[in-house]
Amino acid sequence: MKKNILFFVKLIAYVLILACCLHFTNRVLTPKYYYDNEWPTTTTYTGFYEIEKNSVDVLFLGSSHGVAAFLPQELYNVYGIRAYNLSCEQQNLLVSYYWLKEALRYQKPKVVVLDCRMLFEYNKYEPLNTAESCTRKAIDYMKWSSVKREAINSICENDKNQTALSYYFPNIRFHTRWTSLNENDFFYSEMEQSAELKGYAPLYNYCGYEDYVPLDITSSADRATMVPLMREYLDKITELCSEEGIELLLVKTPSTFENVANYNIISDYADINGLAFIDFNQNEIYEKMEYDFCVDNNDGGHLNIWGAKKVTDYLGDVIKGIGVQSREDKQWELSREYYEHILQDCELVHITDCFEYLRAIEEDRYSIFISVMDDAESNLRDDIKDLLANLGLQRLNEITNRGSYCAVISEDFVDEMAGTELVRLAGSVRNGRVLYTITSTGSASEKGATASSIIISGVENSKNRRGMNIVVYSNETHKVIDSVCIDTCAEDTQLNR
Amino acid sequence: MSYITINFYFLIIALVILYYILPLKNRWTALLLGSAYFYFKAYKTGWWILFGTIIVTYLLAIIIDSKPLEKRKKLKQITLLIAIAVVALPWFAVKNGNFILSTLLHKNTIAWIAAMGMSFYTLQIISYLVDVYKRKIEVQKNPFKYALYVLYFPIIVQGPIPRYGDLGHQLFEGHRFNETKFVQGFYRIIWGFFLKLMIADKAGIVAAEIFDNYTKYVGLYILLAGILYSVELYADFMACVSISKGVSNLFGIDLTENFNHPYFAISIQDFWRRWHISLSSWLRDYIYIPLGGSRKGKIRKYINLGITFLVSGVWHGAGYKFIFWGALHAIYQIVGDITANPRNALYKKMKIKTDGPVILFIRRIETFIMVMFAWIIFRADHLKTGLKMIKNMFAFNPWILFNDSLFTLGLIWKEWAVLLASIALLIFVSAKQEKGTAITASLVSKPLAVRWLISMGAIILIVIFGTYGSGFDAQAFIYGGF
Repeated sequence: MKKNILFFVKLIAYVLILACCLHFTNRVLTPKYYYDNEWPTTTTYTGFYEIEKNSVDVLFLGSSHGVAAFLPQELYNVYGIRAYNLSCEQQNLLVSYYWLKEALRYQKPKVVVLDCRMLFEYNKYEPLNTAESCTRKAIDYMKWSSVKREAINSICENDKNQTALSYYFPNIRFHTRWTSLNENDFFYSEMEQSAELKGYAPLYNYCGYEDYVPLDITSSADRATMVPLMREYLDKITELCSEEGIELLLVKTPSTFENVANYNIISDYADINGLAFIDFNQNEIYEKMEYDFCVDNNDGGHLNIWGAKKVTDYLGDVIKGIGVQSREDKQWELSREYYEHILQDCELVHITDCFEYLRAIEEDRYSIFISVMDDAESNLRDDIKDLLANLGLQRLNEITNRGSYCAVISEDFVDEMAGTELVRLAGSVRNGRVLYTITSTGSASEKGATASSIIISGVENSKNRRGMNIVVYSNETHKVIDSVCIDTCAEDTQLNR
Repeated sequence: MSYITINFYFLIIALVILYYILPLKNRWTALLLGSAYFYFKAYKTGWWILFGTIIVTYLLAIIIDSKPLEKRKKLKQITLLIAIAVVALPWFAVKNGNFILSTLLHKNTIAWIAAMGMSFYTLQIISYLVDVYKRKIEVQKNPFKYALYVLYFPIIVQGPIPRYGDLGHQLFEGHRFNETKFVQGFYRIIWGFFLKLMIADKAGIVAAEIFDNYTKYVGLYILLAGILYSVELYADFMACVSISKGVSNLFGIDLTENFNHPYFAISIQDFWRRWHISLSSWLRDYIYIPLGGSRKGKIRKYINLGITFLVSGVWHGAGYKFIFWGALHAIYQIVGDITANPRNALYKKMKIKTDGPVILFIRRIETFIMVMFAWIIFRADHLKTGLKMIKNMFAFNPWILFNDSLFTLGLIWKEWAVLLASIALLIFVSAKQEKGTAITASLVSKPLAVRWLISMGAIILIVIFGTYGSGFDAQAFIYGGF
């Protein structure tokens, strides 16, 4: 008997240790989308749990249109309103509902802003209207509670291709992830401490769509059809907000996918339920906020950071009008600087003048990689040389006519190499976490063809064009943010991208 | 409910608790309850076929054993034949009916309802009936105990095919908790998962790609498919048996060995002593020996061998390819037997030691190649396809080993690395066992920390590197389909 009891104790210990190991394994295998991704869904949700309880007054929910449109830091900077953006890529209304429910366990928002993109058919082959992978991105990082269990049950009830078991044991779903594990999979706890942009994802391109026309809502009386399941969960969101005394604001962001029929049906819904509805595609609103689709939208559906500022500023007035008070809060105060950095990063990729560019990248948070192709000496102007020297480069004079040169400038070191044949620098930045290999072969080389290569974490980033190829890596956001080439042989000082 | 689903292990946990809570003499009822639940959960459609078979064969066995028939030998024989027919005919109809109807008689096929595990329990019941007839065993008078013998859930899907004399008393007598056996069972289950998810289902991806698109592939691709299918089938079957044995160990029950490193065999005869041992010995005891075995001269021996392997082929499935596969193995053995003496004489003349390592290695490779050719026929869609694949194997394309072509067959290089490392581990373990090392027993004797490290490490490695989950539908064990 004593022997059997001892065995039982050992069994319990074994099961507990194994469960811990499996939990860790599952954490590693579950995909992560931190702020170094274009759509940082994981950062959004893990960051949300980092926010102090009952400190958020406005919650944003919705699809990627919402992620790229609602900028909490801007709302705080301009209006002093504390907001968090819980939108994510392809967030259907079912996911929005359960994330709202989850958020209410931690926060008491006064206003919920809901992006309505997914009310209409998005992917007819998906039972939940959006990709299963995006539903996973949103639900996998919800903390375990009755809300999560309820969400999983609802998902599996509506999507028979999904199994509840795969949520409890994510390895069932992500069993092939081991082939693509990266740094973030092992340093997730470090990555999860960041919630600087409070769920917002910055985009920086100019879409250049000149044929976008804002909506004239009087032009049609047609009504679009909402996806029944999405409508069901919109009703649930409305009901939940009403029960909790939250003002629900329906929003559609500037997008080429919108039309008057969509506007009409949401407008009807808002009227029946006594909700506010703002369609930023509506011509009066569009004009009022001085929106320019060409330069304020990243693409047909998503806003860039400058468009997001305009939409957020407009919403700020509306939210203020609802009665949300300004509050000073260190959580948003501390992220002001980070937000400024992100704005600067976004602006960097639009700089075309090399002088302005070299001044802009003179920041400690950047690691800069340089590699010469063909020639970078013959017409290298002294003023450009001075700016390069300001970055920390000291061996620029060693660059020979049509010679090779490469350099790396990082937080705590500068490494350079010049020669007539192939030169190569290899090493790492960020304490050995990011490996790089830079090679340069000038056209004077007798042994090989001229070429430039800047490989960072296994990915080639060099433009490989004549002159000085520069790659800028942000140590703050852990990603390459720009790659340009200064053609020192050209007469103008414009950058090549 | 497959043996590698989580629900199966919830059932096991519940049954283990129930088994050891019940009084010793009633513990078998937990197994019966679990077996009935497993069968009903796993297979709702045809459960009544097995249920009916159990009742009828139970009664017929009692009649065979009854006193009135003791002196009426003919009637006893007829009763036995009826009993065998009752269990074998439904199996034959389900397995071969449509082949006979469509291919031989050119008639419409019938949508037969097959009971799960039919091929296995058919042989199991026949052996019971014959052994009762021969008075090798005592007839089981308790219908529930008899039902447990037939239904016993760890073996119903894929064997090993037990003998009542070996298994019956273990099922009914009730076992006290034995930590060593319990832990060994746990290791066997982990090993089963390793074989299934790290080897069989990975090798199966490449094998399926080539076999299912055989017109696209020639030369080394076919050879690779043949090798990988041989590995897949072995690992898959052994995985199921390992899990069956492991689960049985949890209840203190030992199942018979079904494999003894078959790819280490040095002849086809040796192969069949090592592969699917429970089937081979069943065929030996209930087909080959009753036919006369090798006691009636060489010609009769070869005829008996042919018949036995044809039965084996038909047991595995319907169609010419299975008949051919069985016949091929019979031919291998007959030719091996005929050429044995001249070969040995030649070795003697050349002063080559027949048990030297080089000769043994060559014979192992030679045997593996012969078995692999037969497996190609076995796996191909039809006999013609299999023969064509073997013909296409003789094309020259060695560059596929160097130009990354192998990475386009469904596995990227990292998965190939895992597969090859896993196969290497299997060979290492098999070689150790071949030399007489009892791996599970030696593991149990290691210090607790080492044991835990090994078993937990294995589980985590399988979770990370195994082939399973969404997007894969390879969970069914191959032999479960026979």
